[in-house]
Amino acid sequence: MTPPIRTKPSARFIKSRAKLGEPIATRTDKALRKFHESPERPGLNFEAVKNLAGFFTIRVNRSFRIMLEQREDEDGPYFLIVDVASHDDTYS
Amino acid sequence: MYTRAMGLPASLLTDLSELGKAAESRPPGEAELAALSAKEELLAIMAQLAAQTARLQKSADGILSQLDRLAADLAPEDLEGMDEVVDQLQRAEGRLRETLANSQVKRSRDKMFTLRFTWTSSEKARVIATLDRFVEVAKRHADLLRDARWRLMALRAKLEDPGDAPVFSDPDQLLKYLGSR
Repeated sequence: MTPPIRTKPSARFIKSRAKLGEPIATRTDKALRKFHESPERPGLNFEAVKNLAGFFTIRVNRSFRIMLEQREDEDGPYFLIVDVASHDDTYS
Repeated sequence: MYTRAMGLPASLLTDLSELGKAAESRPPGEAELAALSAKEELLAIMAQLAAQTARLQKSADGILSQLDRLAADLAPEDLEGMDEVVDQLQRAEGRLRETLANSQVKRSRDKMFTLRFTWTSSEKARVIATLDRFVEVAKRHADLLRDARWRLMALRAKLEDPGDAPVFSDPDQLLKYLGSR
């Protein structure tokens, strides 16, 4: 059985989420819920940050993403929710 | 060993500054194109675009190697100034994407077909090709600015205190916690 996803919101993430306000905050929450429930869901685009081991991103919408860092505590691995910020994919 | 300024390697800040300036480069606007008539002006505009394109490419190459070096030699004092640099990168990216989104370049390109230019088809084709090249490089550059910003955000996370929030395995509890912040 796959162990449950564990996450810890960083102080910076909490600040950024509050600063962005609605509707991004709600979309951010939805993305985090999906990540907990099913991180491999295609719409989340859970992927590693290039050239930086241990860092990942998930998609909030077309213009924002959440950065995660895999860490470990006494109970096992967890993801630090590093930040949420603009990540414009319009021209990719 | 780096010389450091604002906590970050001075050479990185120089490249970032160049990156910002390059992102502010603009291709000629509609009015400027409409006013052109002489071949000398055509040559001037070509040179301007070529210089902007080269500047974008040079700053892009520099920033990538600087970020690799920073990641390999990260020091606690680098945290100072990172917020400002991340903001600078975001502003530069925003300006560049705005230029592309406003279709200023596209309008300039379309004008080449319709204005009462005395230029030959060959001359117009050269300007169009140069404009297209600028757009291609500018798009790549905007993505590079974005990726550089995200890499700096990750490096910043390695250095800063994550805070005292608990670790959640239940998403309902996580969202409840976030809602209370």
